[in-house]
Amino acid sequence: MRNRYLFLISFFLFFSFCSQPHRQPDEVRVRLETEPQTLNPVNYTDQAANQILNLLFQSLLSADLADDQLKPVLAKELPLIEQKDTVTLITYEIREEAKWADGSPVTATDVAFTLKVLKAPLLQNEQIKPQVAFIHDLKPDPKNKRRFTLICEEFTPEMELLSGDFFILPAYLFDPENLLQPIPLAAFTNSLSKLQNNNNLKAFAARFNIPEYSNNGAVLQGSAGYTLEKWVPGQYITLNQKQNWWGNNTGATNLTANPERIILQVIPDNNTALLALKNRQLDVLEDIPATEFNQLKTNKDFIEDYNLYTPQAYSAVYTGINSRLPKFKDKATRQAIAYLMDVANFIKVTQLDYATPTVGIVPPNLKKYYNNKLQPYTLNPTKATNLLKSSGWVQRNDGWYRKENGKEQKLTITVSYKAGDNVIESTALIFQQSAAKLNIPVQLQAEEGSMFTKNMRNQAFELFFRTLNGNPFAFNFSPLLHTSYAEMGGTNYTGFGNTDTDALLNNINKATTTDEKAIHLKELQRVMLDEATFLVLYYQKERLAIHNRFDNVKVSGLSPNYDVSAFTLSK
Amino acid sequence: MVLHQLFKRLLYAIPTLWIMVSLIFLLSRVLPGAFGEQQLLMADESFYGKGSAQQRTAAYEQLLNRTNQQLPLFYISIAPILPSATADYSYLLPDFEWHGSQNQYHLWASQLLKGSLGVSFASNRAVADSILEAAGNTIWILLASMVAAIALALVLSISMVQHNRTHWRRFILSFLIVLDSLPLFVLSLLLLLLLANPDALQIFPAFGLSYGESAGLTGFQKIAYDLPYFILPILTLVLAEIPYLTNQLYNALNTSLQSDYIRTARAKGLSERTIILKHALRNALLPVITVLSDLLPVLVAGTIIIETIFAIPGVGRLLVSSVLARDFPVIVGIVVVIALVKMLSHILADVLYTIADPRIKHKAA
Repeated sequence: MRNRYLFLISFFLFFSFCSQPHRQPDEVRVRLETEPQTLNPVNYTDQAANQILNLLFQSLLSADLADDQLKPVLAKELPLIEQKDTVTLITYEIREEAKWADGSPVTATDVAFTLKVLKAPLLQNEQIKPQVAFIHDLKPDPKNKRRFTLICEEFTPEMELLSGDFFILPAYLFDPENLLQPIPLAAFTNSLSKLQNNNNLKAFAARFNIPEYSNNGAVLQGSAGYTLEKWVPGQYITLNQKQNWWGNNTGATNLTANPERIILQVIPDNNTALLALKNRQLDVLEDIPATEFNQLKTNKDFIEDYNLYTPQAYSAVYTGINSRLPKFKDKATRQAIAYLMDVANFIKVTQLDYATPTVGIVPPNLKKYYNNKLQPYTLNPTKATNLLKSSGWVQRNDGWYRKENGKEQKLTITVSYKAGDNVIESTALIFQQSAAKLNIPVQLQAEEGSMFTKNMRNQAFELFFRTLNGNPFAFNFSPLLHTSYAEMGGTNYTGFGNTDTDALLNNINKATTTDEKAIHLKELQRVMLDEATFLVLYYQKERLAIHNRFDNVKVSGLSPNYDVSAFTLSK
Repeated sequence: MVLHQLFKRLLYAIPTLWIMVSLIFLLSRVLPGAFGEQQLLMADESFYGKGSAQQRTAAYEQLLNRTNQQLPLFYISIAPILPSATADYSYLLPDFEWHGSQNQYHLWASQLLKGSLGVSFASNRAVADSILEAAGNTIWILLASMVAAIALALVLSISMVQHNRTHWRRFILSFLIVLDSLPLFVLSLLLLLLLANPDALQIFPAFGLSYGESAGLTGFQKIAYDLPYFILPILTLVLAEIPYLTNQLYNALNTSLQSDYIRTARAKGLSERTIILKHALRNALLPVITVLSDLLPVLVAGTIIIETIFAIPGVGRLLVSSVLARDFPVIVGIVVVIALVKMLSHILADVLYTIADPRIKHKAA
């Protein structure tokens, strides 16, 4: 009898766990791989925080993931940019409808206040400070409190985006005592040491540098369509839709706050996240490993409920060859190495074909700028052999030899990469096998992340593989390719470039029309392919799944790859 | 007497603990990279530059100043040897530099003596608050898994030492060997795929501690709601621990059962069950006290994997994220707490030994 009772209790206990929690149809549950360190809108450090802050605060401009175009958000329209001597004037007007959570209008005063917070000493703003360093002052329009002009130094192609790509803060909420108002914005540009003793700034810093500005929903209220309801550390963050939000009345398709509730669930492990997706406990999952993505494609039950997407990302895998080293100084040797890059195999093995080969640094989906007349390097040991011979290397039984400065040197290659990156590690292994066919010894060297970057900067490498990120708006390749960045410690690690390529890079940055820019960009791709110093191998594709009860998901190659605020319930 | 001994042990433990945490503090700073370096100085793998390298370096210096990372690490440092600097051989002697109290170790140690573990570089929160918040779940998982593992190990080892259960013993030992050979992450993934998968058995939730629906529940309701979320993590840790625990207990019981007093008990005609439970078990538990005090660090290491795979917030995950972000105050704070608990568990084990076996107390005296 006792055993029967025990069995019954166990039976009910067992099956009481069987039911999965009930889901509300109008809430969206999204997975976060890592929890944001902070939700401080001026000092956030990670992509997760950026995604959440975009639902709480707004910037002047932002990318519309529907078409990957830069569009006005708080701004009424794209800014007017004028270049005058050494300064650039960028004029914005804020939308008339734009309101803060308390109903007061968003004005130029709020933008000026935001810039002061972004540029001030004593505040925890190190993450975003460099981004707005080029803005020297803000001149408000005396006739229109929503119109203003940013006075910026010189001109770079990113300026349009950077001048509008920071969250505008509500001065009434962040600085109710108007502590920063008496300090002019221009004072935050030059001599900051004087400001460090400013009592108003000290008082503001004491108020601002507290955890409440990083995690409290009562403080973190911007002009966007959501409020922070709850942040349970390590578990989830919930956002609630604002009632009667001003953005609904503008008619702008990029101003949306459709789902009533958004839950961002922290799930660090990919396998667990996949199970949660299969359990229908997640509506969106990105960064799905290629193997699992292919399995999901063939899972009929799953496909009934979810749509799968593979947008072209703006993230590429590239290889850099240290052209300063005597053995890699000549173009033919570098080209020979390029012919040992089995890009098709890299893509097949590491990406399961979810990638697109490229001839250069411009993403292939940007048709206007991509040079489709060029052919990327493919594995060709015969061409590689001929090129090595033409550059003076002599083939012997145990490898290739050449005299460098009177001494005989064997051709060996050390490949460096960040440890822990499986894609890059497999890429390096495939390259090692290809090089072995020509009897070129390749040594693989996995390095800890910061050590790897340090070695790049110190030019202590031979050849590396790594990833490169970009976007479709700005093409400032100077830090990567200009010779002024090629000194020790600079970011032109490979030593690419000469006076001609420097001029080309300057022309890209100065181009005023897209046609002019396209000509220069195509030429740059040709030169880079020919030089084979900085070889972009392929652009990756994202892999994500979204529940099919949602429409208007705005899938894009731009991070976070979907616009959760735009989701609408399917009819 | 026990209190006196406990106090003495605590006094002895303090210098050991201090040396241990000081070494951890100094060694943690030897990790390559500093907090913020990745985001500010290495943000150049892109053709969308957010500020020039010069501006990013200036911002990074501001960050170092704010977090005191620009200060020397310790009171003294040794200058690098530069043979070209001097003509004689004096460069072979180490060149010590004295930094006074303006060093990172001094600031950290003074804070610790005042009872503060510092402030997180990343979240700007007090480290103690972050650890307390995270430890809430970890402690329950650890305690529950320890209790369940001990209970299960006891049941298994008692059942194995019984004479008439040879087949059972063979089966259990084989099962435990297989279980012991499974790495923890494989075990947890297996359980997840078997018991939280719509393609297999979908019995338990796949992740987290509730999906946010438990808000508003109180007391028993909340426990009942959260319980299913704890089952798989606890089960994983229990399964990972029982091979070792059962083996220790089984061996200790076997040794006890060979003793003269057991033979006497058998001669008295006592049942096998009474002999094991009343006579053999008490003596067999003695070596297990040491095993239990060693269990804690093993379980803490296990929670790092458990918390990551089952998406449960806890100390393990906090430690991993802090190491990745080089959030040194949190790293050192967690290690200090673990070292303290470990030290206390050793002291407790010593005390329990003397209680369980008075002969040890007399020998020590």
